[in-house]
Amino acid sequence: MKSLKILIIAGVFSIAACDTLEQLPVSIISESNFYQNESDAEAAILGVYDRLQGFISNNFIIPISARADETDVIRGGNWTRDESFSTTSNDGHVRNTWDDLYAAIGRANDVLANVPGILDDNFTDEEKNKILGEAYFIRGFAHFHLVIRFGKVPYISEAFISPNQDYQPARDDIATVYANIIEDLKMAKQLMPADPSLKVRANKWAAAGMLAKVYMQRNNTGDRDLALTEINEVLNSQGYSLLPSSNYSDLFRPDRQKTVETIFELSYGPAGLDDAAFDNEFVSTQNFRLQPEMKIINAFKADSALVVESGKEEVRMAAALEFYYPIFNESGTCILACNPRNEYFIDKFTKDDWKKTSERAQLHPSVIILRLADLILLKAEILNEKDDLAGARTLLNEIRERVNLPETTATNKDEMRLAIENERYLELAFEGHRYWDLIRTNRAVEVIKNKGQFVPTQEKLLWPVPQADIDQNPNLLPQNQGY
Amino acid sequence: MANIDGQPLGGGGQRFSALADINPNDIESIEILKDAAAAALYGSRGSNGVILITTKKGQSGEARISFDAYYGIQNVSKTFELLDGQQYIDLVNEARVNSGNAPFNQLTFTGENTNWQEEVFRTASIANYNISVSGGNERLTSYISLGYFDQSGTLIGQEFKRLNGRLNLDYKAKSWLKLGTSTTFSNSNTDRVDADLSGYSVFANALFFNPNVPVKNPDGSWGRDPLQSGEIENPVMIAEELTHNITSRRLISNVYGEIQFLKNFKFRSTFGIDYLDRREERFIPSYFIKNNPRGSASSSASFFDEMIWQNENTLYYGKDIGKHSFGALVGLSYLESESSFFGISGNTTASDLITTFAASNINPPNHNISSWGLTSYFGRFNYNYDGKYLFEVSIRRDGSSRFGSNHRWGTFPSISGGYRISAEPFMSGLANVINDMKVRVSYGETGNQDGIDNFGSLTQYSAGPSYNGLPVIFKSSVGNSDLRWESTAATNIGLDMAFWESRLELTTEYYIRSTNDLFYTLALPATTGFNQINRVNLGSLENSGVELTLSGKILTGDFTWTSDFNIAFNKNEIRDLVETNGESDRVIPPAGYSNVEGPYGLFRIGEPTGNFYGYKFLGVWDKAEDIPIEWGTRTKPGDVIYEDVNDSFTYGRIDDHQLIGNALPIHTGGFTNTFAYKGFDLNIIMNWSYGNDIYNMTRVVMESMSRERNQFISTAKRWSPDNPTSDIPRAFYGSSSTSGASNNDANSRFVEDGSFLRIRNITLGYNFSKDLIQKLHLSNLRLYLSGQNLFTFTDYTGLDPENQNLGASTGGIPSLGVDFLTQPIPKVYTLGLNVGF
Repeated sequence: MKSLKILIIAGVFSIAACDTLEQLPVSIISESNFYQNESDAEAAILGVYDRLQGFISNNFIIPISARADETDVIRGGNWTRDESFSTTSNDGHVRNTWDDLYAAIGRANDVLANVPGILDDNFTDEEKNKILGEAYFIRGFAHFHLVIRFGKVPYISEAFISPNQDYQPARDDIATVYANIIEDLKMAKQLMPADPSLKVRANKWAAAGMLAKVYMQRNNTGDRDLALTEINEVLNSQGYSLLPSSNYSDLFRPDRQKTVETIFELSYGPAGLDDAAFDNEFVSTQNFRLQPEMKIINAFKADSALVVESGKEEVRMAAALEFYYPIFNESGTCILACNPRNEYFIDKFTKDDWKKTSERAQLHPSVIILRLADLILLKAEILNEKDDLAGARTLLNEIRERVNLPETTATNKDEMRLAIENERYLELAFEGHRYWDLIRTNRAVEVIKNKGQFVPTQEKLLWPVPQADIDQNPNLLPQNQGY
Repeated sequence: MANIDGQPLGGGGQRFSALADINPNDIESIEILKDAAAAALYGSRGSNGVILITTKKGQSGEARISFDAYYGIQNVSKTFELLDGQQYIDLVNEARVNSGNAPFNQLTFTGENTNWQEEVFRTASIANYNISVSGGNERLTSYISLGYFDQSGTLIGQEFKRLNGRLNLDYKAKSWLKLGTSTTFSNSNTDRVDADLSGYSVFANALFFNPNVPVKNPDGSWGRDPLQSGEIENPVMIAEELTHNITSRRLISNVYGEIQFLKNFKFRSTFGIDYLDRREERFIPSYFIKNNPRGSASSSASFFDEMIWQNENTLYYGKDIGKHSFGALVGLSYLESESSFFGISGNTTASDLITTFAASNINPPNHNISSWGLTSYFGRFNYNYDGKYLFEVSIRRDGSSRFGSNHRWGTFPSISGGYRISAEPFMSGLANVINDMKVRVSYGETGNQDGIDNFGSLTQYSAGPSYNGLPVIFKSSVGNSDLRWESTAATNIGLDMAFWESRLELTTEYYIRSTNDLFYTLALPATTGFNQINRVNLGSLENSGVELTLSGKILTGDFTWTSDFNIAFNKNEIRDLVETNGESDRVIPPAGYSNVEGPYGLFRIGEPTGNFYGYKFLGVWDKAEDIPIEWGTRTKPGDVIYEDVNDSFTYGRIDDHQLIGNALPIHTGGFTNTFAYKGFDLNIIMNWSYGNDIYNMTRVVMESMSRERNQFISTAKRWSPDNPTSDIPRAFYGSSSTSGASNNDANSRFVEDGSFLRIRNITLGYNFSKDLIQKLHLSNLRLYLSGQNLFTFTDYTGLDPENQNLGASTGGIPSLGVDFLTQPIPKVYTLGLNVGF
């Protein structure tokens, strides 16, 4: 009897215990639960755009403008080393650029690996293709920004899913990387809708425009013609037009962006919902690190004089540069815009906002990746090289007239080439184009040397591969020449 | 793993020490199970040894009341000598000019010469009060205690207070039924200051801050850095104005029932919980320069709670037949943890008066619910013949929710035997010399699943903030479905001897402990899109060594002297590593701190862990003529000379790094002596470590001369055209990576001998005589005076040669032997009292 009682008690204890090995995650999504339907695919592709924000915010424009004849570096070791072409493989921004771009590529590959297999009746092929096209677009775009900065890079087209996978790729030839970029962008162009109302997400025309930029940068024989075909497709789509001079500054104003001129811009808004902000090192605060170079200020001033002479309103310089106003607190200490090197600071993407905020990294504009003016000027350049001087002039004047400038005075091919280069310098100032323009026309060393401050070598035009990644992957050796 | 009265303690690690919530006065004994056979019954978590804490139980008989109290003061024993006000300005501006920058004309000599270390270090109090009552009768015994502990840190702004209560109860309800509980609660408050270089370290800022600045200006405002960079803040201001509090409440309790039946059977079941509630608040007032946006205060708050429950059931059978005695045990146990974390941070420009979270700009909060569980089955059989032959075998199967379903279970066997030679008849002739002699042999395996994220084997997707206002989901980590238990197989051979009626006792032990399927955080190249895989199984590591303990009652009688001596030799070797693309070496980069580089580690088959790799420092270029032309123009007089192993005239980690030190000691040990005469007793404890190196990263920061920080006095003798024979490089503001490496990259200049001998504790006590205490109606009365860490003998130039381990770097492996701005352990003088009623 007693034993029975005891056994019952013992039994109760043992039954009370249950299986503690099956634990369900609550605050994360496990692999097996994801990519089930359209909204998963949608959230995933937005995650790819999201991962581009770090790169676009910090390294798309700033170090490149410091290297080129656009900006002077006031402070900051990384930017200073860029400006003087003494970048090292340990520089944080070099590593961040590499890491951010490959992370975006990783997310794009995850979408490409999983979205095709989603079985959701409400998820049409058209919608699926749109998302896949965007993933191809970003994969191509990110590799493009790697190859122009680092030269030979591994082209990653497989999602990383397990430590058993070979995760130490070697670097692909530049030609291979370009070929893959072009293939991806062509896929993107084919899959994405021709909908110009898509601004902060890529569409067919963004892919066509990027293809043109890629061909121009690769600059192989015949590439100009390939670029021209793509540009013409965009121009003939009728989906885009240049903003009139009265609205020119809308391109860069957070409250008025997504204009008819923009083909693709990366969103950092709305403030409060998006954690990422445009890290604007140009903003006129105590912490600002870059100022426009006197060379570009003088070029703007010369243009500005022409506009004023003709009795019209100057809009382009006004959109790009702003007078600095030192701001003092009650006790007379300068708190904003102190100690500038010259009387201007860069105002693109910050229009008016700088007055409201005392710090950088608090702005939520979109950053323009591709706009019509860029393509029109590229076309002008192509036509000029094809000896169609009249065609080139028409396009160049289109860009000039829109900002109230008189027609170009270039009369022959060489003058025209320089006039277009200069137009791009000012029209696209501080938007991350100048340095790449000089590189593709093989003028970088000469133009930068002529600033009289720093003398780059051809080798140092590329960045070194970050040492941190070489540490994890010796197959990335040898390092770029000159480092 | 720590285990208190059978209840495993949660938490641990760096975040919060479980042991800090236990009242030491309640502890009856602490047993450390080192050999794998002994730890085998705690198999699932016994890999790194098991600490068994047993708390005091009540005893039947008259109630015993005891009151224990001590009060003490603590002091740091050593501070650093730094540059004075003028030297500081000279150094910083020389560094600026050397790197082609304009001098800081904001820096002016004031003659103030504030000694910031003196301003932040203090004589701090430590106090502990404890009262306990124990007693009971044949059926019910209890132990009840209440304790209060209050310790101020030697840095201003540091404080720890803890209130503890305990109830231990054992109740013999029936002849066959025993019940009981071990229950403790605690409430602790910690006022924290930041450590290392992170955030606002009071200690680091006291070393860095400009000595020309006063603590407070004549108008009562805080003295501030004239450079206004925000990198360095007034350390006294940090200590007094920055709020960082942690409140932790904990309940650890278990209830057991034990049933005796059928004469030889015992069934025991325990159910226990460890509940922790921890909240943390931090507030940085608006006038701290680095706040972003500037001029706004920033605050954060986090709430964490974790509930761990465990149920363990064992059935025991024991039988003696003549001189044979058998025991067998089977059991099963379940453990489950559920935790929830909520953290939020933001900034406000409203007010510095409210220091709790009242932010107007809120960062996305972090809310995380997590859980894990273990299920275990185990069995043990032991046999003992007359205390002469001992034999035990056990096996245990553990399942952990943290592993992928294919590798959830691990099996951990053990076997051990003992032979008491002294019980043999042939030894009886020696009995008056050797009264006990025993040989022990054991082999056991234990497992480890700590350090893995609860869902670490799964590929995870997380929800991000948004793109263009719409929700974002992305792959946040790559899982490892092949992840297995890390296991340790240990073989121990021991010989225990006692001589002359145990006047002298000798214990020797030889062990080989190999850890297989080592957990390792696999750092990935960024081309994968990820930084790391949280855990992979990497290879195996072997520790082997000898431990020797000698204790003797040297003098007996009126004046007694007992002495304990122990010494341990350990050898460590990496035996196996997984290959990746034909390469098995794993470079472990130093933990990253901006502009401060520690030594590189290397996992290589056949080498020990704890190796430092870096450049070999050969000196400093005296003059331009000495520098071979191949070095180019970037190498200047005053730059360091490292050994250029491959004669490439450029320094590179891969070709020029070499072995420059090792953090592991050749031997460690302790020596304890106790003397007693009449009521007095004197106890002296010493310990040492011999043959280990320390990478003095504090010196890297304090001799780098590369920023606007104050530096060690040694930098006054730096290289300059006027002092061209110096072995200390020139000052250079910013990064000076000329010729591939900077003056302050990992190199042998910062490696020092870390050997030390420390007088850890001296206690002089007096037990009042029986006559006196009886007159006072007491059962005992003892007064003692004790001093901790009074003397340390070492050549190490840092503040403290002991416990210099930096947090985990890449690979999840802590950097051993790296001293980085560690707050020195204090000298402590205490006066204590024990009273028994």
